[in-house]
Amino acid sequence: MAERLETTETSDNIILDVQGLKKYFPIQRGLFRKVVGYVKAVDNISFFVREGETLGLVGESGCGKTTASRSIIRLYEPTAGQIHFRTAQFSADGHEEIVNLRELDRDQMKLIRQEMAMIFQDPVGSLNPRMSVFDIVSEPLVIHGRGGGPETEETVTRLLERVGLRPEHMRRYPHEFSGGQRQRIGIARALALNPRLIFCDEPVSALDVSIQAQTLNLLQDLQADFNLAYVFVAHDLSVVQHISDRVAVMYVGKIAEMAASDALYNNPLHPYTEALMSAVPKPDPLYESERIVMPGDVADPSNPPPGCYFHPRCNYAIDICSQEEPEWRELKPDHFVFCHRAHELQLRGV
Amino acid sequence: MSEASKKDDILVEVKDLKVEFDVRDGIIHAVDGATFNIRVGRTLGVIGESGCGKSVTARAILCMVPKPGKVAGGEVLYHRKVKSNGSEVTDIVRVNDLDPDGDTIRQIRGGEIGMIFQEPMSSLTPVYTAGSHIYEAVSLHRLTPFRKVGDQIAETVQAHRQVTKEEAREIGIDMLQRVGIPKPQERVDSYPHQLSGGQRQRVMIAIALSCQPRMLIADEPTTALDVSIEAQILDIMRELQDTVDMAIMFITHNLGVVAEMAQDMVVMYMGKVVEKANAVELFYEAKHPYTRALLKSIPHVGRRTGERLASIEGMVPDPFNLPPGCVFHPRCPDFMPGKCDRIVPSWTQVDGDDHWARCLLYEEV
Repeated sequence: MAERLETTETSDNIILDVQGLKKYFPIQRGLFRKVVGYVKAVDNISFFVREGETLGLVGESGCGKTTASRSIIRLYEPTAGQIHFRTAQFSADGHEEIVNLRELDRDQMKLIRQEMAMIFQDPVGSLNPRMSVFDIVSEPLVIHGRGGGPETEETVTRLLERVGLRPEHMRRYPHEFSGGQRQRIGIARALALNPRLIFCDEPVSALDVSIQAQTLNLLQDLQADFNLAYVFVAHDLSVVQHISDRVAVMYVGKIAEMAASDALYNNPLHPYTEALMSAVPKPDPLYESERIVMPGDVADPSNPPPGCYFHPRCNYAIDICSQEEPEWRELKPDHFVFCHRAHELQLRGV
Repeated sequence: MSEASKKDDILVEVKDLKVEFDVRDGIIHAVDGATFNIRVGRTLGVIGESGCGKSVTARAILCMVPKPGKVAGGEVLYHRKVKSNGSEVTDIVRVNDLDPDGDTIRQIRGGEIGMIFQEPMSSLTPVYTAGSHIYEAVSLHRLTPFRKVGDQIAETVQAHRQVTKEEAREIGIDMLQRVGIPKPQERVDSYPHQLSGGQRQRVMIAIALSCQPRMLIADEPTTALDVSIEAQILDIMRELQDTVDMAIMFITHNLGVVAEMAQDMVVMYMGKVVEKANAVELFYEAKHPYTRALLKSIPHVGRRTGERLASIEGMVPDPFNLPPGCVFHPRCPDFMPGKCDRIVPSWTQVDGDDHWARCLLYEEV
């Protein structure tokens, strides 16, 4: 099961390495549910996450951010690709090895899921209204056979205190809490099994500004304390920049650009990143924005344009862009881009 | 901005407005003493967190506070232009005295004051069938599935502008073009489900603007949209504002959006307007600790410091059990024991230039 990682990085600190991940959803029509096409929700993306770091995943709605994270954790079965994950679950002596998640069976995947958790966007919909906070937070322990004893209550108490809730809250039900508190319950549940990697799917977009700041601070504190790695999915570019070490920008199922947060925001290499940055409203009334207008609408993932998916909306497009798909290349160290002209364009950051 | 320099540039005056909801567990003071003006050709940004009374204030202006809420005090004055003997005069209408189902308010609503309410997706009512109730004037602001976009715009126009069906359709196509929908001649015959989220929101704006209102109330118009579409919608609103000198009341919790749009600002917390100033002053020299904390708690794009965000401690208080004194004192970084928890701050001018705040830091007590 152990395999060598093939990246340009020294692989010691990489805990998740995704290569060529694809997730196509079939479009079925007619009486016999004939497959007439595919929605290419995630189309050949590659990225990696290092231990204890945050990878931000941004893009417009429908670009495949959520599908990508769900495919990695195998809530959706990926269509193709390799998902390498570093884990100590399969050896008795705590020795770490790298496994390909797509080759694991159900029971092995269950073991892996102790090390990967998820925080969801909707703090109302992601908590069962008929379960008490104690049941919600201890459920992962019960599922993995670590619950049931008197120590469970201790664990739940510790978790609730860690996320800023009071232990007496554990007998209450989700409707008795505000949105920010509910999100904290979700975070406590994600921490229950001591994961090493957490997928945060728009964890703060349903929250008010002041609660959003509290939650982001909590996530950062937890990361420092437990050496957690986050894959942070969001559409708010300023939040993503704040929390992420590195950021990947997605457009119609593909990663357009991936780089360290500062490099990506200040010196973008992909025209889509540039346009997206220029559209972010700045909280400064004296700021004169020069917005880059992207003509047309987001491409349809079931019927994408030929060549580079972004070319119909790109202000820099030339002939080759509509004919050939660009290559995923590392133009600068740790700065990956998916564009024919990235090396010759002078783009503006924020 | 031609009229902005004239003396009478106030369009809507809100004076000490109070709205209460009498529910089983007690009375909620959803709006508790809101005072501000909306001026011709300018944008008033209203910011605050959920439940602070922003939307209820907007609804009170249109005399459509949902039950069991009622206006319990204060007044909303709308400076209405009426034609009498061939010349235009300004008639001041006290909106809260109007019959909420009466003719006057129905002409103002949608006709003179357009509205775009939150969540375009859930404004869809699934009960209408194709072609029904074309002349019905009630669903002015809802996009109804199974009915063509063009019909719905035409209906609004007909209800308020007395034109024929064909003319209304022409106006519909023209409006769709102006809000940037491609191929308006074809799109006018589309049903809402055939449009994307951004397009639907643009149709909502087209409906709201089709009667050339003097004012637009936009309640979180871009919250559900992506930044690129949000930017387009904001551009459209500003463009239209420039051409027809429309006033906008822009309600949002997004400080970035409001900084781009608004010239005047109002900050609300727990039903109270805690600060009022022009936008530049509010963003650069906020006086109220709540406003300052809000501004500090958002991450700024392009300015990554690696530091923690300054968050506001604690939570919004329980509306049935408000803290005594200043409602913000339990969370306030400038809390003065013995004062803030006892004395209710009053509405004080803190700066010469029409900058007001509700905070004991600026009062002699």
